[in-house]
Amino acid sequence: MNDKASEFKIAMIAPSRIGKTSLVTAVLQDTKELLSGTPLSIRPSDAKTSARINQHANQLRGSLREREFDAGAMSGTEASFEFNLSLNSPGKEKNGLNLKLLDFPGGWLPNLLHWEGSKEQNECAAFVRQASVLLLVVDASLIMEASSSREKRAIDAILNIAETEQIVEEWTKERHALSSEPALVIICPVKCESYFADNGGSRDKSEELYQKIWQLYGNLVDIIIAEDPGEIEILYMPVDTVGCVEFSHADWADLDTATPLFRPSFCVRGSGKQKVSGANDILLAVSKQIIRYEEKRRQKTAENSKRIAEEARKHAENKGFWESIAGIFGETTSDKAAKVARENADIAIKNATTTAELVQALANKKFGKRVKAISTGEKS
Amino acid sequence: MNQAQDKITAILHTRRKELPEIERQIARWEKLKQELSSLESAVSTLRKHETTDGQTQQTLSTLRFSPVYEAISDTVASLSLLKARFSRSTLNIGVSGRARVGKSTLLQSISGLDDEQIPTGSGLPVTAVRSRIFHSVHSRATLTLHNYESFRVDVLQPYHAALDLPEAPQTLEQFASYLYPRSDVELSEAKQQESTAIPVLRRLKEMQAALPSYQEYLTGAEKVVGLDDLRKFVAYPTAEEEDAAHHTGRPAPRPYLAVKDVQIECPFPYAQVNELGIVDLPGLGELAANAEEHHLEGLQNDVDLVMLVKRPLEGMAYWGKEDGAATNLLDKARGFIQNRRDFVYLVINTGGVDEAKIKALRGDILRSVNDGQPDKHFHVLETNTADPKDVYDNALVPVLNHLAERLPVMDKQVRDGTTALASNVTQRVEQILGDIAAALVKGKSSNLDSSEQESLIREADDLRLKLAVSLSEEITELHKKARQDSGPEFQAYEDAVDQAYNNVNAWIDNGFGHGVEKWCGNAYARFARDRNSAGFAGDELNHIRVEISNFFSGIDQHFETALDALWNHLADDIISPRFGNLLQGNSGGAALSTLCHLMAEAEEPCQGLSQAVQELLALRLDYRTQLHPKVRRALDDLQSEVEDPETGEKKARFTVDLNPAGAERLLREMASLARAAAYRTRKALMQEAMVPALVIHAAVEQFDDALIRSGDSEKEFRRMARCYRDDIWPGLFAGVEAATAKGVAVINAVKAVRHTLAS
Repeated sequence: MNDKASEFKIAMIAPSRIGKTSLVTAVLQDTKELLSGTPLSIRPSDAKTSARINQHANQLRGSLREREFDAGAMSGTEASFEFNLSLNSPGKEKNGLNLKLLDFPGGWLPNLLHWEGSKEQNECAAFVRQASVLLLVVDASLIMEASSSREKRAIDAILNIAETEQIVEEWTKERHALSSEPALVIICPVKCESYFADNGGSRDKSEELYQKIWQLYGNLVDIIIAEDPGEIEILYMPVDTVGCVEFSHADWADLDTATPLFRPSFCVRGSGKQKVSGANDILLAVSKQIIRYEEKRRQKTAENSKRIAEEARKHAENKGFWESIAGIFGETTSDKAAKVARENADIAIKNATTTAELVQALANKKFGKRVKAISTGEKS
Repeated sequence: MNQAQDKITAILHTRRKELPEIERQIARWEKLKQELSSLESAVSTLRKHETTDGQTQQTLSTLRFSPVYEAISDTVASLSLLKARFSRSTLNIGVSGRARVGKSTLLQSISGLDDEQIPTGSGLPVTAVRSRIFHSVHSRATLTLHNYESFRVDVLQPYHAALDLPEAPQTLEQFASYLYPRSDVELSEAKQQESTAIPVLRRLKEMQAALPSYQEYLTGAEKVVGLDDLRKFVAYPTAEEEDAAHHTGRPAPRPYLAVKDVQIECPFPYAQVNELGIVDLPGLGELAANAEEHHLEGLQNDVDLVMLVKRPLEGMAYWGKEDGAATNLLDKARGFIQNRRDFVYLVINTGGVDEAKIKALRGDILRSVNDGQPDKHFHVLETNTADPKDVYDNALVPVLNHLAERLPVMDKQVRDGTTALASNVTQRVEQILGDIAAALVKGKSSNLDSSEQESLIREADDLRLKLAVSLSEEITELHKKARQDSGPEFQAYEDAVDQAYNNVNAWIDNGFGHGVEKWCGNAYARFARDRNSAGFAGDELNHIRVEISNFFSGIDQHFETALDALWNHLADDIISPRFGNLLQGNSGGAALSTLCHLMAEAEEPCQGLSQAVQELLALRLDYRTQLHPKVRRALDDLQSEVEDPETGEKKARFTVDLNPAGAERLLREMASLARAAAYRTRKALMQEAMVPALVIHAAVEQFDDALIRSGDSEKEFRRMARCYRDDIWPGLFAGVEAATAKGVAVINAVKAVRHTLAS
C-alpha cells in the first residue's frame, strides 16, 4: 500500500494569464469555507505552492482595497507550475487526499501534443496523460465581450481551441484504454462575475454564456463522446474567482495575426470584499469521481472479478491510483457513513472527521446551480 | 380747420392701408424679374440645343429681354416712390426758393422756431442743411450724421467732379492732407473759363480747413440735440465768424458739414393739423455742386406739396429764368400728378417790400406763368413770411384746405400712373411669352404615325422591364449583404464604430477633453465652492453622457458614405445607362434628383414615379434616429447616485476627499466609469452592424415596388417616353419634332412667369 496520501491529478488547459492561479486560490478558499467547523482542512502541501498562493492573495487584496483591479496585472504563468493541495485531518495525513493541479503556459500545447520540447514540457505532457481531470479554463469575458467580427474570429486562436481539441482527443483515447479509472472533463469559465446575478451581479446572462461556450466547445464534446461514449463525465462549471468585480472594458490587439491579444479590465463593485462562487464544485466533482470509481472497484471486487481488477491494475499507468483510493477508504468503507452522507450531505460534511467521510459527503452534495452536466459518464 | 384735420387724418390712414399691397407688388415684380432671367437662360439653352430646328433657333434669337428688365426696374422704382409717399405719417409741405427769399423766415413763422434753429440773415446764404420740421409736443432735433464715406460721396465728390479733380480722398486722413490747387490757375483750362470754379474751389478748401471743427461728428450715427444748440449744425458761419476767421487765420467752424439730415420736433403755434411737417428744401442757385439733384430727390421722396417762395426785391421783382428753372424742376418731381397747381403753390413774400414791387411781380406772374389767367397753372399766395399770423391765415390755411380736398385725387393719380406703368410692362412680358410659344414646335406624339407610336410604347415597356430585372438582381444582392456579418460594408461600419470608440477613449485620457491638470483643478475649485464633490460629479457625468453619445454620432460620416455609394450605384450603374442622355452630366444623388424633377415637371407629369424616386432620396441613416434608441441603455450607468445594495436607498456614487488627491481619485473613477460605458456602447453598436444594410435593403425594395409595380407604373413610363423621347432614345425617332428636356424647361419657365403675372 502506498504510504503517501492519495493523489489526484488535475491538468489545467488554458491560455496564459487567464486566471488559473486565481482558480486554484479560489478552490482553496472556497473549500476552506466549506470545511470551517470541521477537523478537516485543505492547504498547500508544499512551500512553493504556499508562496505562489500567498503572493497572489496579497496582490488581489491590495488591488481590491485600492478598487483598481487589473486582471492582466496579476502575475501570470510563463513556466509550468504544480499546485499541491492537501485535504486531510490532523494526524491522518496518509489517509488524506492530495490534489495536484498542473498549470503550464498555453503556448506549450503543440509541444505537449508531439512530445517535443524541453524536459519540463515532456514532464507536463506525461502529467496530462496521467491526469484524471482535464480542467479547461475559459475566460468568460473573452467570449461574452467579443463584439466585432474580427474579435469573434480571434477567439479560437486566443483559446487555442484546435490544440485543446487535439490534446483532449489524445487524452480521451488514453482514458478509453483505462476505462476503470475516473475521467472527468470540466469546462470551467472564469471571470463570470458580470454574467450571473447570484453573486452580486445585476444582470443574468448565464444562458447566453452557456450557449456561446457550447458553440466553441461543442466539437470538443463530440470528440470526447465519439472516442469514449458515456464513460467520461463532462461538466460545465462557471466560477467567480473574485466575486466583487465587474467587467469594464477590454483592449484587443493584433486581431489579424496568428497571436491576437485580449486584455480585459474590471472595476471593483460593492464593498470590494472578495466573494468566491462555484470553486468548491471542482472538489465536489473530484469527490464524486472518487466515490463513483470506489463503488465500481468494490463492485468488481464483490463480483469476484479480481482477475479483471488485477488486469486493470496492471494496465493502469498510474498503478498507485487504486492503492491511493484504497488508502483513503481502507479495505472497507463504513456503510453507515455512506448512508448518512447520502441522506444529508451538508451535515455529513460538518460531521466528517476523516477524509473518507468527507469525500463521501462531498460526493453526495449537490452541485451548485451553475453547474451543468453535459455528459454524466454513465454508460446507458 | 377741424374739417381739414379730419380729412387729412383720413387720407393718411387710407395711405397706410394700401402699403401691404404696394409691398406685395414690389416683391412680385422683383420675383418676375428673376423668373424672366431664368426663362431667358432656358431659352438660350434651347436655342443652342442640337435637336432644335433652325427656324425655332432663329425666332428665339430675336427675343429681347433687356428692355423688359429696364421697364421692370422703372416700375419697381415708381412703386417704391409710391411706397415712400404712402409710408409718411405726416403731411409734408416743402418750402423752396432761391436763397434770401425768406424761406427761413417762413419756416420760423409756421414752426415757431427762431434764428437758433432756422437761421436767417442778410447777405450770405445761411441755411446749410435741409431740415424737416414736424409739429409735435416735443422740442428737440435729431441729426443724421455723415460718416466719412457718405460725406465723401454726398459732399466732397460733387465738388471734385465740378472742378475736374481726381476722385475725392478715400480716408479722412487723406482728405486732411490733400493738396488742393492753390488758385484757379492750377485747374484745367476748361475749368478756368467757368465763373463758378473759383467759389467752388474756395468752398472746397474751406471745408478742408474747417475739418477739425466737424470731423468728430462724422460718425454715421444719429445725434439728438436741444433746439438751443442746433444752429451750428444747420447754418453757415455768420459774417462775423467769417471775418474773425479771416483776421485770425483760424478757419470758421463748420459742424453743419457733418450733418446729412435734421429732423426737428416742436409745437407749431398755428398748426391746427396734428400730422404736419414742413420740409426745408435747399435753395436753388446756391453754389453747391449737385444742389439740383439733391433738391429733386427730396421733392420726390418727402413732400406732398411745395411752396415756392419768391420775394420781389430790387432788381428781382419779376419772374426770371431761374424761377422758370425752379418750376421745371418741380414738374419733374410732380411725377404722375396731373395738375401743376395741385403740387406747387407760388408764395410772394411781401415782408419789407414796397407795394410797387409786389404789384410788379404779381403782374409778371400772371402774364408769364399763368398766361394771363389767375390760377391757371399755379395758385399764388401773398404773405409776410415774418408774420406768423399772416402766414397762417394767408398761406398755411389755404394750402391745408387745398391738400384736404385734392390730396386724395393726387394720390389716385400717382397710384393710377404707377399702375399704368406696370400694365405696360405686363403687356411687354406677355408679348415675349407669346413669341416664345409661337417659336416652340411641340413634339407631340400625336404627330407620330401609328407604327412610330407602337414603337415608342414598346421602348417604354422595354425600359421598364430592364429596370425591373436590374433592380431585382440588386435587391437579391442587398438581401444577402443584409444577412451576413462580413463584407466590406460590414467591416466599414465596424471600423467607423471603432474609430468613434477610440476617439472617446482619447478624450477620456485627456481629462475629458480639458487636460488632466485642468480637470483636476476645476474639480478641486468646485469642491471648495460647494463643500462637497457630488455637485461637480453630477455635472460631469451629465456632460460625459452627452459627449459619449456625440462621439458615436460621428459614425454618421460612414452612413453618408454608404448612402452616397447607394445613390451612385443605383444612378450610375442601373438607372442612368437606361435613360440615354436624359441624365447626362449628372451622377449619383444629383442624377436621381434630376430624374425626380423631370418626372414631376414633365408635360405629362409622372407623379407616381417621381414620388418613388423622392422617397428613395429621402432615405436617412443616422446614429440619432436608428441606433441611439437601441444603445442608449449602455449609458444608463452614468448616474451620480446608485442604489445601496443593502438598504435599497439612493446614495452618492463617489465619495472622495475634498482635496487635490481627492480630485485625482475622482478623475480616475469617472474615467473608469466612462470607459466602461463607452465599451458597452461600442458593443451595443457592433450588435447593430446589420442595421444599415437592412435599412438599405428595405428602402431599395420599396423603391423597386413603387417604381415598377405601382398601379400607374406602366402608364407613367409611357408618358415619360413621350415627353423625353429624344433624350432617352436619341436618334431613334429622328425626323419627328424634338421632345426634349430643354423644351420642357422653357415651357416650365414660361408657366412660372405666367403664374407670377397672374398673382
